[in-house]
Amino acid sequence: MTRPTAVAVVMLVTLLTMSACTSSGPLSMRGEPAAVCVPAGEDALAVIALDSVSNGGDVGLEIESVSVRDGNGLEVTGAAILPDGLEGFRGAATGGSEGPQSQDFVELGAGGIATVQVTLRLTDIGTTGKAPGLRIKYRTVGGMASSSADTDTSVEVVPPGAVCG
Amino acid sequence: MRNRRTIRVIIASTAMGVVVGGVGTEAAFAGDPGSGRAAIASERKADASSTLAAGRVLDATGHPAADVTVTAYAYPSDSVMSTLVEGDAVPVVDLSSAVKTAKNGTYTLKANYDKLLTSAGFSPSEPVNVQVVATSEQGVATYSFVVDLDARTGRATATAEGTADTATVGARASGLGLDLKLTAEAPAVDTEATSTGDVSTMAYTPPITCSIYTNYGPQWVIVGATNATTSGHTQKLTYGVSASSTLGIGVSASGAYGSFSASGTQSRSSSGEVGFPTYSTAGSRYMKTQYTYGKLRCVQPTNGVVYWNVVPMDFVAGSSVTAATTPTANLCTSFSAGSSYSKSTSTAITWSNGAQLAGVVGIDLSARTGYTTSAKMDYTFSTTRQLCGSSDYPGGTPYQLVVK
Repeated sequence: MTRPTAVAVVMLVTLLTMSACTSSGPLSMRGEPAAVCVPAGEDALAVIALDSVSNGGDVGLEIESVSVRDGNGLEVTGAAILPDGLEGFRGAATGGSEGPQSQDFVELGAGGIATVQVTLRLTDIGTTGKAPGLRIKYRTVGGMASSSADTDTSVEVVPPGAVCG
Repeated sequence: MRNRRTIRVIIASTAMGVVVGGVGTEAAFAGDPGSGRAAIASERKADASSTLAAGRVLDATGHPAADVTVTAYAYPSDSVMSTLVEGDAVPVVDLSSAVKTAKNGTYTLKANYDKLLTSAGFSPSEPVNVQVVATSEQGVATYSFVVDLDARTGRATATAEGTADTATVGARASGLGLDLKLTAEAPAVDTEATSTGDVSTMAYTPPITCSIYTNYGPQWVIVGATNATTSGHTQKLTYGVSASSTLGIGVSASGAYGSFSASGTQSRSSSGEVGFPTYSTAGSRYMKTQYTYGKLRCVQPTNGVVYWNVVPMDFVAGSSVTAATTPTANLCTSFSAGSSYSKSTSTAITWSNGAQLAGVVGIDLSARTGYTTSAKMDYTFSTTRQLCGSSDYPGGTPYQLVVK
């Protein structure tokens, strides 16, 4: 093998390796970009359950955590996934009573679709909190490495009594 | 002498390549005759980087049509189409060398996008409107679809609008991503008599020529709908700058009123924003804006076959609202009082008669708004209400949304 060819092969392998490392993984967002705004309750909490995710892989996924991505004034106090076909809260609710109280997830089976539920708290009850989306950390069942997926529904929680829009 | 009997020719075309997503296999209709019929888009995507289209040419009885000339070309960009007037030539560009179908009616068109990149009037950032044309002494068939070129990767992705009919044809195809049905009025094909050898690439053939024969002027096109069974909310559609609509194409062998049939789609974009009224009461309404449509006369120079297309040419703007029937939507989410929700409509429904051209050409054509994220629906809720999707929850691909 000539030296230039060897270099090209090394570069190709490197590129392929880098590509594999940056793979988006089997968990993907469904639907189109959206924006939701909801007033917090007097408990400073609001629940948002709108993002639809799907497992495009052939093994189940274990969700590890859901967090606010690049947010300001918001924190996640509870998160869950609600598989399609199951009853549960979907939408945007003032106050935390409709939402998960902790981060506790069922497995998302291969090909499964689910809605991501999050309970969000205003870190300052008098100040609007915003985030361009959520970050979901997950791994395949039995797998070691974690992956992440970002939602594309921007989130805004306004203080209690305020009105969005 | 060319046979002028009009019998439907069907061409099934399959773009070879990897399915890249967005594949739909269902087509359902929600009745709303008279003002707009909704069909869940059965959009199909396929890699068209190498093979632009492939498939079979069939006659009206389903037999293979051999020795038919098949080629493909691209329409110019919106900015060029919008300047054309009656009598002007349409500067189409060949995308593939012409081929002859084999004895079993099959053909394969290899893509050549190089000419596009060097042609004035084409923008790599815009979707390319492609038309596959099959002609023989017996008649003509065409099908139009959209190809997106990714300048960074060199990848070309074809998107074809499916309908109930194309789903049927798709079931007969080889299971790949793009199933097209090419229809046009044409004389019957005697497949036994015309069958020849294998598919073959033809020597250089002059390009198809098309010219604007009639400009029908602005025509109303459905670009969205608002639906509610209650008050306590507001909803508003914005059709923004560069919002794209995928609009149906008509084809005819004679060009006469009433002779056109649907034959695929082209993409056209708005050059300005259309703001529709805000609604806060129960009821369903279609939101419409205007595009000009024109009738094109095209000639395949190798055999002299003439055919006619009705195509969208230019965004005009304007807004009109008409009453609609509220669709069934039972996949619901709840929104608290004081909340709001905004959703892009890049995956939207197809209005199978959303471009209302029956008055000028005898057939309504389809309209689908989406393709980009520049069209959106905004909702605000003054009372706790449900927002329900017709085919999925609102956070997925609901197609139609109803406030309850």
